[in-house]
Amino acid sequence: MLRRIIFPHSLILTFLMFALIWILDVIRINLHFLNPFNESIRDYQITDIVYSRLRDKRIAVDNRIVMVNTGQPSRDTLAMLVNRIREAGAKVIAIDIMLEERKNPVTDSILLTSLTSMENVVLAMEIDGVNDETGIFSIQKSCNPYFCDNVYSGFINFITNDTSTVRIFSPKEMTTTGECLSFPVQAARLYDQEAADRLFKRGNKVEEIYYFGNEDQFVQCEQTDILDTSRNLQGIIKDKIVLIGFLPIDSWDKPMRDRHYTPLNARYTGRNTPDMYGIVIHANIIRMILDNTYVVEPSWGLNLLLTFLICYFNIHLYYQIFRRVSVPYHFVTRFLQIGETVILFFLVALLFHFYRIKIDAGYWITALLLTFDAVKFYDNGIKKRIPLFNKIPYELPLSVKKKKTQPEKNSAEKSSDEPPVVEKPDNKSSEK
Amino acid sequence: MRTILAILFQFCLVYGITAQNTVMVLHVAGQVQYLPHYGAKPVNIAPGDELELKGKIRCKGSGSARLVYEGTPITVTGTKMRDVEEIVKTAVKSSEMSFTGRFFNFLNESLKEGVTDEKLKKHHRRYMNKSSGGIKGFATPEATIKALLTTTGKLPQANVVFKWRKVPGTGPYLFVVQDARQKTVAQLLLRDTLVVLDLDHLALNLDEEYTWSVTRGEKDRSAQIPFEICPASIVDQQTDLSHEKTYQSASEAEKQLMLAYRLEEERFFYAAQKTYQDLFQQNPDNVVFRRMYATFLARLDMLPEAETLISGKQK
Repeated sequence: MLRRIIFPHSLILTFLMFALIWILDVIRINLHFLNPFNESIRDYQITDIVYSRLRDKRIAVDNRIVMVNTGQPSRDTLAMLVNRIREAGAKVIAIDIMLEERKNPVTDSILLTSLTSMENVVLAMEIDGVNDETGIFSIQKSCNPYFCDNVYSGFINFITNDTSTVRIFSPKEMTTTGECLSFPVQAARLYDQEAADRLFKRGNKVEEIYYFGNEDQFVQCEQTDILDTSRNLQGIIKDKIVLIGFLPIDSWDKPMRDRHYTPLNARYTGRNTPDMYGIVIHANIIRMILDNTYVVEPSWGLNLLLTFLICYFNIHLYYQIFRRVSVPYHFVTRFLQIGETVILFFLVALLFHFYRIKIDAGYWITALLLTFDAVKFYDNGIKKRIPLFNKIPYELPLSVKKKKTQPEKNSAEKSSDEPPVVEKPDNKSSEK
Repeated sequence: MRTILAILFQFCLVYGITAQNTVMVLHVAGQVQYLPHYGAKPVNIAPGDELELKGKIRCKGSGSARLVYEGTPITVTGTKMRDVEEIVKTAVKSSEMSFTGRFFNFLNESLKEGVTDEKLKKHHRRYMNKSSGGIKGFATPEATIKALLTTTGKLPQANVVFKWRKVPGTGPYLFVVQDARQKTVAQLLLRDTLVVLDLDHLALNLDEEYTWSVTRGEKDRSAQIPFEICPASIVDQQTDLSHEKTYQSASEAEKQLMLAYRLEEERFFYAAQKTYQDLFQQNPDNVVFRRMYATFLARLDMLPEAETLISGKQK
């Protein structure tokens, strides 16, 4: 069995290939002169294509989350909104607006009364001042204690640099005053404690966000829809999570405030415009938590094993082609490379689309692209110059027991195992 | 055979039961009206509403609605009254493709050559229509003939006066009435800038929307003005104010003013104009009625008439 799977030269070459990829990986980091190119593709992942181009455009509207666009509301309007939503029987109200300072004592007081009149209200705040050694945040800001001390709060920080895409989020962080949940996690917890427990059980410091889609996945109301007293809101709001925030989708000037890059961006490389409002990202996270639809990433070990297997079998395939048909080797392998790249891309896309399994195929494709030259270099260069390698057979010898019982057959097999000497000039030289 | 028929019948039954007969409203910008059936009072839709397929939908002004039917998102814009079912059919047709189909579509698109810098420099004029620095604002309208908007919205069945403004030039005006499929229903050659039509005599259906337009020669044309015909009984039903307390306690003139406003709200612009006009003629010295009539005309983009009305009083 092993004889059919293990081929010594392919195995040696696979290890050499791993070393080569590691060297290239190290060098890539130091290629500063490639920065403009690096910048544009640095923040790109194959799964971005799945989100932006291969995703089913059909909508599965989430009936547990309703978004309300407030534009830039005054505090008394916000109080009225909260009152109307509370009266309609919402289970959780999550306000994605930072009530940073006290303004008018009267309206502030009215707003606080509205906020505290319901149990499950979450306010947005930010955390800052991280201690690099302990990982503890020292500052909680953007929400005045007048409001925050009386209701639940959650941090709205996304994990991103200035230009990159929002792909991951932190469920909870430690602050000097204790543990602090993120805004969407807090809202999801108040709505469904079990769902939040499932998230905490995973124990990940950060979670990959699984995007169900843009704002179309949720019912979106304008503040006028909520404040219209002639309407009965119970039908759309009762027992739901209501996210209140900035969502000016139909605004003629399409403001850029609170818009972020996501993998759903139609232009997944190079310069583009941010595509999603923060409140929609929060809604996607909440939905992911409630539906338990986390992105599955294979462990480092499994990824290494898969990369090894793909690299090994690919090298063996190319090596066999090289040994048997050396003349059209270029032609055949180039086509194979293109075909295999498409198949790998299809597999990665398929796994992510249907099973949310996110595989980093970067190393697979690098190995695939290097195989062609590596096989040639190894067979013509390394193997000939290092006598030890030259002595190693292409296939493992048969076991001793078998040799004894079937001496004639073994000798026939042995002769067939030897590489063809007529076709290749390289083999002739190795015989010398 | 019986078994096959029974299975087929059950399949049809299950399919019929499970098929979605409603469309969900995801988001509404501005005002969008829905009519469950012909003659029903239009209701403003709101997010979360479920609309039946057999109804009709129309946006007011620049309003728009985002609907979803069996997972297919649909955007509705435009002031034309349209069947919900028709909108849904069009949207569903254009959105069916499997994952594999989308994958190969993507591969095929990727294989097409992109626009290189060289190509861009060589044929730069071809690529000058994709972006521009500036925003849309006031511009010369495409329609050189200005149609008066009193004959838009819901019109009576009896004699209706269609008017438009005179433009310099010679030759007759061609007045055309078309249905929703752009099929001509009536066509007239005219010397004057108005025509009186008895809509009852034309082959027009009550629950359909039509447009009228005027052209002269090849250059001059008006915009297509949408209208529909509405029997008097439905006008009375949709603009009935008798049950409202404020209406009951109002004077006759005030009642007429309230009615005019309600008519305008319900898009009976032709009837509203007549009511405002009658009210003004009965009370020529009443500044409030004069101004109300003038602002109504201004809302219908008839500024010269509104100005004349205001300045006539000042003189």
